[in-house]
Amino acid sequence: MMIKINIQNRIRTRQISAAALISILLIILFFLSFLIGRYPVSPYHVIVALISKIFFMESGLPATVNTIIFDIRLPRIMAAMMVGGSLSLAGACFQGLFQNPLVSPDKLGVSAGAGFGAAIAILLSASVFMIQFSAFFWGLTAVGLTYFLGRAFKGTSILTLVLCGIAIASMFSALLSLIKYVADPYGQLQTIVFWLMGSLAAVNNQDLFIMGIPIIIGSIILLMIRWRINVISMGEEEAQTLGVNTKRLQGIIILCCTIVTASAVSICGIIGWIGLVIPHVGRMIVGPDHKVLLPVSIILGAFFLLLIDNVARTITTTEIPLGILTAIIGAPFFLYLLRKSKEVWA
Amino acid sequence: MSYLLEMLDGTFSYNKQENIFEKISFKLKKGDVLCILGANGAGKTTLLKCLNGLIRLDSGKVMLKGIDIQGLKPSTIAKSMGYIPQIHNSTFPFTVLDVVLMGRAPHIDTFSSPSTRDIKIAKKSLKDLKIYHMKDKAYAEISGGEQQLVFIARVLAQEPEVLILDEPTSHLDFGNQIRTLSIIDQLAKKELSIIMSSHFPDHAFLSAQKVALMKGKSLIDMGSPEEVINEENMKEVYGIDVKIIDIEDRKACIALK
Repeated sequence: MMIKINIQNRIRTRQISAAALISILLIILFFLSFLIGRYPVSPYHVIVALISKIFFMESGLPATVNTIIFDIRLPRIMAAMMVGGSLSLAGACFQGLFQNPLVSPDKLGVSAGAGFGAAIAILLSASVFMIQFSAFFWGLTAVGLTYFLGRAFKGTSILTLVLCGIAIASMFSALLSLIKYVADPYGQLQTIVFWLMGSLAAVNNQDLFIMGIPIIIGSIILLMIRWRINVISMGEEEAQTLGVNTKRLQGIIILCCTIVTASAVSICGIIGWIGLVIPHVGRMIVGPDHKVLLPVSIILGAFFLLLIDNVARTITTTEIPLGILTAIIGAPFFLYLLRKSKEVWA
Repeated sequence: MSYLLEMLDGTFSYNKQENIFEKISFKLKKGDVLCILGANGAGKTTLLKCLNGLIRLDSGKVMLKGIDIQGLKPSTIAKSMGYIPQIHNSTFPFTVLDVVLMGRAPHIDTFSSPSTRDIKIAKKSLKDLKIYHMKDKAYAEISGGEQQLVFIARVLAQEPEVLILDEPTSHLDFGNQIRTLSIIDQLAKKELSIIMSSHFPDHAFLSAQKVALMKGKSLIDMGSPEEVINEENMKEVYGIDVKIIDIEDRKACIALK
């Protein structure tokens, strides 16, 4: 009996220390990321610059160094962490809501809608801001359509909603193909294709600020209801017998996940893989309880995308699109974890 | 005497054409154990879901402590009424304690997590059912009988006054069936009202004070097990010949060949 309890405690302790370790690794990676790039910045510069910024002091560093740190590297680092964390969070929430570990945050059509939105804005030669806005707007529209179509059928189940999502997503990707077909192959088409593959190269402080607000608000709400996601992941009917207003909770989860994902996608294009797989890595480390899983998923997602983005901007002279790297680096890593943690996997 | 739970002229259909049941009425006091018997597809599960407000009656009312449940919030219903479904599919390997804690959901605000008090209540109900030692196991990996206990613990953590059990014995071995019935018996002594459906007329003798027979869209008979479970009624409901016999201090219902 005592031995059993000790084993359980040891598993708990292992989970907590794993989570703490990832957080520390994220902080270390955050600092290292400032040092990576064509213009050399020393660790001393980074520390002085960050500390003086926090305390509103003059750092006394050369203006170029300040510009590199605060206008080029910081927005990109923050964007990578925000996008990675929020995609992973939204993925974990959707997997819980749909009681399906194969679901990704774009299951209800948000990425397809956003891709279409961005493409049509590029086709109309709109400004960068309008491309982002159009992606965000059409991402929300696609999920809105899915949701209201799903609701229109009587006796709506969560499965109907997913099926509606598949239909809407394929409609929007057909429209996207149509735009690609008519786009100028030497200008617009290239831009569209690059946008769809995802990149953080063009992120600036303004993007970060505009898209950061909805991401942070959506994420905070999701974190607040994270225990309720446990209950709804037992199934809609069972959650209802436990006193959960399931329709309302579903609405809140879908709305927050969609806002968060659409914001992330509109800054950096479509980045697959993270929302599907990082929550699984989280479950391997801390188990299925969303109370712990959601914060851990955010940290893991932030860490993963920051790491990938560092690779993307340094490995070759031209940048490699993120969408490609997330899968090329992520897939073998995931398979390795899957093999290692066979007994935890259920 | 006010009733804890009543159904008044309840009628329900899935397609608005053919009713599953019609004008069913019954009442339940504190400490009552009502067992609903009926053939497969008679509508027992549907009836239980209507009682719990999971699905809405087409006409008639379900009254919980004198209030029509249609006007009540899900959390208000769940504070007074617990439900154990017949089948449970699990996707994520939650621990036993996590599952039992979910019983506290109606008492916890949407934007909050369980408090230490909630955890204490969940642990106490695990202890009451003598399964505290399993609290850290994944509930999907324990046996069917143990899972049933976990769900009973969860419903107890919910602290309801009425308990609805949909075929609580259907997936269990012989020993666990009888153990589950004796737990139901103990709960009824703690003044919980219980409604359960069952496929075993004999189980009604063991644990119920009231039996309702469901056939052809209505309750064809209701009363004490001794009155209702007789050879004619069983022939009518199940289409088989049975013999009711006295053993020791109880009656038993045995199928003839």
